[in-house]
Amino acid sequence: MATPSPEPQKSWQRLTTFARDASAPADLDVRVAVRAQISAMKPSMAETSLFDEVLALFGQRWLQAGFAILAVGAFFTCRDGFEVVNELAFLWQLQGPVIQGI
Amino acid sequence: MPATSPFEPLPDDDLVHVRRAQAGDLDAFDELVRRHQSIITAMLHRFAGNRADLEDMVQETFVRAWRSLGGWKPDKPFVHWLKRIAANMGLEFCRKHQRTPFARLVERDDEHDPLENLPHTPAQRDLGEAQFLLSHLPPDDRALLTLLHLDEMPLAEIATHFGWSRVKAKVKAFRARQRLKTILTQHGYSLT
Repeated sequence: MATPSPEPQKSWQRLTTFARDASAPADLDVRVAVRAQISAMKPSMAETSLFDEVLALFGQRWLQAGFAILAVGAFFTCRDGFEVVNELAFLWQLQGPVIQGI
Repeated sequence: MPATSPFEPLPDDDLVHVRRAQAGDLDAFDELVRRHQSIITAMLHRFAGNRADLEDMVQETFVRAWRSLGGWKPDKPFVHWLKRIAANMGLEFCRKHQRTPFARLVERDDEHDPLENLPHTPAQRDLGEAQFLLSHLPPDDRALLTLLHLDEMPLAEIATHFGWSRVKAKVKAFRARQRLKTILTQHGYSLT
């Protein structure tokens, strides 16, 4: 009875040579999908630029000076109206003589 | 090196479209996609086992190219720059689809059909078999040998794409071949 011959060893080099002949799908076209994805990215970019512009606006000296004037004006207008603040200011004034007495 | 198409556009011709695309012209970028998508598809086809993955990778390559278009410099052809993005997409694909130790317990027949939605030609089957064998390697080795053996990309070009020095690429290729040899022996293959 003849013994079965051993299976011939497969070759990696041959496999890759044949594998290189495999052609990629010729009908693959990603233009529409790429365009859609890029267009979808654009609104978020616009939002970012708007935010940047607002941020840059707050960096303007004239706007900062305007806010400072408004804050000082509001303080002097409302100073007499804040009883609690006046109480605290009174206590603050007393603090000096009390500490001196101690 | 894979044969280049006689209809491949000249780099100078690309330059005009790249400049327009850098200024935000989507039509110009569309033209660049039309020109180069076959080259990128052919390259990424060596990595992706099925059509859906391949389509995702090609699409993502061009979206990334659009995002970083401002960084392209005309000292090298545009297609070379695109190939670099595609090579890194391939590496990312290998990392994402890395075989876990448990995957060895799963029989190959139970896995996802690698030829899904692709023509079942003998060459395609051989490519699937080669991809299956390479999938046993660590991601870096798999990406390196896919480009080296299946795409026939020169080692120097692979090193440039992955940001490796030539010496590092040579050492990595040597070690990857050693690992591949062990895997091939287990599956009844010889390296030669």
